[in-house]
Amino acid sequence: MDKQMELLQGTLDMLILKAVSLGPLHGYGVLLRIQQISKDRLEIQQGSLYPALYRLEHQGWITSEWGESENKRKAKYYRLTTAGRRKLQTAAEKWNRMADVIAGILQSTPEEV
Amino acid sequence: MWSRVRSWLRAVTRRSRMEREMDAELRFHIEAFAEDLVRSGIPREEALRRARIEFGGVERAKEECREARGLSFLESLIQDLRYAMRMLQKSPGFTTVAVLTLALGIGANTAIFSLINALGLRPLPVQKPEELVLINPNDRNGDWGFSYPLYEAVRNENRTLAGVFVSAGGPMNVSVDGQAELAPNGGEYVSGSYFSTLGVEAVAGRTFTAAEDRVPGQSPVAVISYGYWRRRFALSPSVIGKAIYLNGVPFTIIGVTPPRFFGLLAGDSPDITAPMTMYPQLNSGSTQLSNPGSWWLTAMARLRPGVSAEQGTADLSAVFGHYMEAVGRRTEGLSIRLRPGAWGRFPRHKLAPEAILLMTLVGLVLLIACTNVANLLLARGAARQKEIALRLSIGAGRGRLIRQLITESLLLALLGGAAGFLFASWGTRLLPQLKPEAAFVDLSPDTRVFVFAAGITLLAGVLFGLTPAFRATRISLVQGLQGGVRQGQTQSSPNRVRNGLVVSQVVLSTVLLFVAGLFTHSLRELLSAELGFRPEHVLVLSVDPTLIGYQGPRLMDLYKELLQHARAVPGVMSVSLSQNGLVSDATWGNIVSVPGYTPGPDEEMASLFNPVGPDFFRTAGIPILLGRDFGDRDNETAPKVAIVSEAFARKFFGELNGVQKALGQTIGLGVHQNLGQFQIVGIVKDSKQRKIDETPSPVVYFPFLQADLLPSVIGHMTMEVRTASEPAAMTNAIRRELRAVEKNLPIYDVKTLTRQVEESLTDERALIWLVSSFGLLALLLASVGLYGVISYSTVRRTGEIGIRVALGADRRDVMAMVLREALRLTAFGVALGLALAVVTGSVFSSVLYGVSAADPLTIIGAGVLMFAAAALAAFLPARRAMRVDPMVALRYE
Repeated sequence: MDKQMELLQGTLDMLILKAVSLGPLHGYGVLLRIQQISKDRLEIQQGSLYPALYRLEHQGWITSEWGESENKRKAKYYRLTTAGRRKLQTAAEKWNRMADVIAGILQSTPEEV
Repeated sequence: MWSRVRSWLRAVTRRSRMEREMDAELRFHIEAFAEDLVRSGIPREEALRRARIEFGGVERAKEECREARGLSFLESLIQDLRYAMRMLQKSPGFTTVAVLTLALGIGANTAIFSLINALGLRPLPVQKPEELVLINPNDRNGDWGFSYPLYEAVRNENRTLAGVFVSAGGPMNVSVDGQAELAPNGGEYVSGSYFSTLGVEAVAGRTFTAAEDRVPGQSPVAVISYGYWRRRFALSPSVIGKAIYLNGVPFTIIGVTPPRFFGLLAGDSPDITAPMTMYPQLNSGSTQLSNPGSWWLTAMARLRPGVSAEQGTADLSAVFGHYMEAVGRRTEGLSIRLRPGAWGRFPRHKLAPEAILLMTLVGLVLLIACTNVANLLLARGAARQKEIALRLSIGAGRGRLIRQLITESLLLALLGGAAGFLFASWGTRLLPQLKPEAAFVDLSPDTRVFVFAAGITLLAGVLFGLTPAFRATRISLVQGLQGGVRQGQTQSSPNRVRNGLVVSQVVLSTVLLFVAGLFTHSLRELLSAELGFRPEHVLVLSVDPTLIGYQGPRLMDLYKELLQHARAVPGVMSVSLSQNGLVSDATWGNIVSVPGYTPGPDEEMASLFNPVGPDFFRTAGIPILLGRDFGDRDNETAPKVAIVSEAFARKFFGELNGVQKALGQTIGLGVHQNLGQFQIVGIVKDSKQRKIDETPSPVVYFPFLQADLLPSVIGHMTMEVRTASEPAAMTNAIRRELRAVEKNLPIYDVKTLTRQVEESLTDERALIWLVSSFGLLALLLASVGLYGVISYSTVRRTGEIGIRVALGADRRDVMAMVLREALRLTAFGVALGLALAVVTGSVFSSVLYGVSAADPLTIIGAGVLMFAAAALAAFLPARRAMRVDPMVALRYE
């Protein structure tokens, strides 16, 4: 798939949680990680990343602390909290169920209906 | 949850640090991104530029981050407030006009509300007023008062009351150091438990105790009000222990009540309070206190803690039942009713129609003020289009901008509200100084007034701010950025809104002018109303010989002698005396019995009574329809005679020929005819007794010498003197002659009858003064509004006008064009306003006298006045339009 897909509404939070669940990341790192995992198939509005990070932190699913980046600069690192891990789990389960259901609907043939 | 609170708290308390961190974080992102781009071979400059574009609006992202933090509201409020303050500072002219306009509107509303609050809403300034109850015996016909023996029974036998007291008002003659006067705000008789039950303590000396209840006639002590202390004794501490005379009986002042205490009814504030047990001494040996069936007292109590109203009612009903049995009266269908006593003598003041009227009118004034400010804001919004377009284009949300603009409005409203609140407190503080002897009314602002002022301030802010804010943010960015909207090219809609606002102002002002006109008209009718007597050339004065010890036959002889001496003064045509004055507050009602007249089931055989002297009708100028006037021969020993009013004759002897039939009849006066049988010797025309706007009621007049009970009834009398020339000039001669009879005679309230009639209209005048000021204020505000709108639209049309002039249009036509626009709006508004006024006018009919609520003259007057003011307001900008220089106008584009 050449073209980038726009993110579905409400999935950015889940992706961020997944990204930081693999290890602490700064904001730019989160962006890179998601692009890397998705093999550049997802387009993320950079401007909307930070409000999402702030929202997740506000809800207590991630925490942040200042650290040093790869090239020796100060950067803010985000880490998943225990609550965040639970949230990611339920969100992922819900997402999978939903995807199954929708896929089932879309694959149905006239005979099945 | 906790994390949210923590992050919010952190955000609020460490805002600047958070802002710094947010900056650093976003900068890091962009730079890191740019570095990656550089690594892929893009030049540094170009890489940074691309990184920024990819990222999108930084400010917007920051704003959303702040919002994500949940602090946005408070933070952006502070930000908005700062910004609003800067904006207001930048245009001091606009700010001043808007704030003043609002201050007038909010101030007037707050002042009127303070008045209504003081008179009807605020509970008594006593301890825990909500615990007080009013006690009334009750049968199917309604509530009664208390009798004194019933009070004693309740006081001694109740099991549920922490305290109970009775009170009754009454006139009191106060004599201090030989100077006598009728206490201007009256006196109050109270049981000893009055102050302790209310929880009111003296500010000087002491109040009454149970001791004052114990022995009848042995407690000659009085408590005075703070206002009386200030007016009569200049707040001198030596007033405690001072000897005075009340109704001729020596008393000692023992205490002063607090400044805010006004007794049991707001607007009453009796000057002197005396023990109930002294009532007979001060009222010529009245037997009221021992009469078990005289229900003349107000009774109030405080329930014991934990006692419910039901328990109290049951307890007191039982006591009442025993009492009625013991005094041998019927008991079936009787009970005791308890009602809230927090507002004093009445369970809750019903708002007078005048109060509702004033509140409505002053509310309209505020509405007009709001419309003015809205118009100003609309004009400003148009001027700020460039700024707003800029802010929209760099990513500010429309909602956010609207909030910003509304914050500005609210700040304006707040400034106006604060100024208005100050205006109102000054005004209400000044008011009592205009008439220091008037009854004390506590107009000082309390929480309720404050909440009211804050409420209307917020309401006003939203009201005038909402439309302009929505309007201002609905602009095309491109047009907005290009040097503002070009003149003449705008969509017509903002204009339509402004015109709509002006029309509604004109509508409201027209209504107010109409109401003001109705009231002025009504006053004119009152002033020219048929009084039933001729006030010209009559001097009235009050005398009270009981103050210096006159009683019984000696008193009657003195009055006879005073009459004779007054008659002898050169220039005096006739002299008389009367218990009740003409158009006076003091009237006396009692029971009559008329042979051959059977009252209806619930009808009371009541009439007004007025004991008078010889020549009363000739002196007062009341026409005698049939029969004769009283003369000197109608004295103590002569047969008892009476003269009745036309209304009396028609009511009791027949609507058609009552006047003829009444003559010669004998009627009984008083309860069980205790004043005796009187033969009717004359019928007189109806005359105003209490107020000019009253409907005629039955009155019976009889010679004051002929009532057996009179020595106990008559204290002071009013003397009427009809003079040949200007009555005021005779004052000294008459006073000298009366003092020649008795050199210490207390004489007071000397004035012409014309003046007394005018004074009876004081309330009406005050009301009209207020309504008219509101009307004029509305007119002024509407004119300013119209002026603003027309000026603004002429400025916007400067280019168009310039072209017209350049093309050879007559300047007069230009002026006419502008004027026409203004007058078209006004005409529309006036027509709508008058229609509205006529439809709603009937609401006021209860407070109008002699004028219809759809009075055509007033309708025309209000319309013409509004129109003239509007024409004047539009004239100035129209003349300016006429003088437009085409060259300047065209370059202006």
